Amino acid sequence: MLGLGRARANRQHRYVANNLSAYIDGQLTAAERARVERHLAACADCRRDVETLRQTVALLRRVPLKPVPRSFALPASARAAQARHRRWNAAFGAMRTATVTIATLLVMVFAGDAALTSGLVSLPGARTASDASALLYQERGQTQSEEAAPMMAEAAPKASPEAAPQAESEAAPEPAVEPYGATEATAAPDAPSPGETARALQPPRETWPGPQAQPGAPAGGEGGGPDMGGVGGAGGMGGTVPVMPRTNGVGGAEEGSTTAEAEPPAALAAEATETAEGEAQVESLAQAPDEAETPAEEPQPEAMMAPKTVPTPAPQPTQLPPTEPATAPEAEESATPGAMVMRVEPGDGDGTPAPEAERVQVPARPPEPAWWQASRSLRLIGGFLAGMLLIALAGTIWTGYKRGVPK
Amino acid sequence: MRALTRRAPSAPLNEEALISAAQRGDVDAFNRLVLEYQQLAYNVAYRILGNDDQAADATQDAFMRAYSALYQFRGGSFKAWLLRIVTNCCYDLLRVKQRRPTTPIDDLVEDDEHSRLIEDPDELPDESLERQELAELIQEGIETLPDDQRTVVVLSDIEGLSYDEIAAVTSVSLGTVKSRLSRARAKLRDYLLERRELLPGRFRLMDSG
Repeated sequence: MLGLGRARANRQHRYVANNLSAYIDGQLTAAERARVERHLAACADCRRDVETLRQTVALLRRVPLKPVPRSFALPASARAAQARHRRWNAAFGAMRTATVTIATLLVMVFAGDAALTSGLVSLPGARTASDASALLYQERGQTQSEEAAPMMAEAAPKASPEAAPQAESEAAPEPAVEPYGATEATAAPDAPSPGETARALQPPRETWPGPQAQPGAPAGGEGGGPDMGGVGGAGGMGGTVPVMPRTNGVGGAEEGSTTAEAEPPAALAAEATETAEGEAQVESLAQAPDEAETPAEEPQPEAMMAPKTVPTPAPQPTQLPPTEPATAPEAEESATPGAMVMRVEPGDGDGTPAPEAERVQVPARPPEPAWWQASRSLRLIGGFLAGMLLIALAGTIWTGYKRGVPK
Repeated sequence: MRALTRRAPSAPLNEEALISAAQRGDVDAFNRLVLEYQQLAYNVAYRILGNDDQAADATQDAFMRAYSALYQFRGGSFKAWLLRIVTNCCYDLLRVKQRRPTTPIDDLVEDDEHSRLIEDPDELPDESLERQELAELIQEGIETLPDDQRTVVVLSDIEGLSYDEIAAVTSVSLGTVKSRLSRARAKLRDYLLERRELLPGRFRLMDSG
């Protein structure tokens, strides 16, 4: 009993000690004040405390005011400083808004990509558990080679699914079309370097075409030499991913080299080299159509390739790899021109392309489903946004610093 | 004292008009506000910093910042808004001070003693001298407090701000103001009790209970 009473007294004591300050200032409610006063009546220690506390506050209030040592009035020049601060603050506000907006978009892109790759959102195309990682792995290799190529015609992306089936068959005939390609080819700047770079970048793969193509490349005379190299590299890649070779081939062709053979991965390239002896261009023509015509719904390798090639080669982020199937018809049309471009160049061997193209398809890797294409474009956008975010963040920090310390 | 008389302005200022004029860039209008509040701002800065020069720097910096950012002032208590800037300037200086301490405390005390002997003319009444001693002791006590408690006790018991105003200045809740003030006062009480013999009799705390 005694212990309980003491505990309660201690509690009261603590409560009062914590509230004496407010009690002195009259800041307690009536109930609180009554509780304090009840305790004060019974506790000498607290009575003494409240007394000394009152005296302390009284002393503090007697501290004399210090006269100002000088006037703190601002000079007239302060006006400019205010205007400057206002401008920087406005810039800071804009940069901050931009940062937040971009960050939000980036998050949305991430979420969208995650939804696509995880299967939450379904787009045409079969999906397996390891699809994403496998595709990503392939793509890594491709992107490198693709980067080497300057750029693909936009038509390539358009070549969406539906076209694919036809594309294959057409591929053979295309060689005939070569004339267009030739014209276009001339227009295209020749870039031997791209082919070379592609080669260098290409990871070594066991694909059969790879080795052949490379040796062939050197053999190929004229512009074909460099191009071929590019093709060969592509072929190497192509072993796994048919798309790669095409892109390379296209790029090379556009650049003015013969590479067109790219379509059929390494094998084609090799053949092209052999047949054309550096003028494999013809093959490239054949390939081009294939790419452009990629199958709409069918998960043919070519179809996959086409979209891929398009995004990567094209420097512009705007290009939408995930073109809808609807575009297919147009894609075909456009594809032809694009294909021609790729084929063009020296264009020697016409016959070779068709067979090669077929072969290519056979070894082709699994088709890229639509969701994967969409995912890739999302990742491209995400990369672009990430760059913009860095810039906006730096701008925010800089303007924040320039506007001065906030209040 | 001159300072005391100036603190109560003879003609009431049309504060809102001055503020809106200053927001449009009128430096003269803002300087009238400066004259109105510099006494308060400087004293707050001095009690927090405990150093004349630094207090002057902080005050000047605070008025400059206040003028630059005046367009961000959205009404409410200009006094609280200004004092928030003042206390922030003081904290900035304190942070610098912590990084590279300047004069040792002993020297400061010596300086104060010296200047007081010189400045205190014969005509200074005893009471003023005693108040001066009291003020110095209290200032030392205040400087032993943590920043947040020091600010609250300066604003409340030296400058006479209400709890609400202090809450606005320090951007904390009323309850936080209360508890900080309670702790600050208790520490100051203990500090003064330990040094009772340093004060003239009538300023000594009587704890005979």
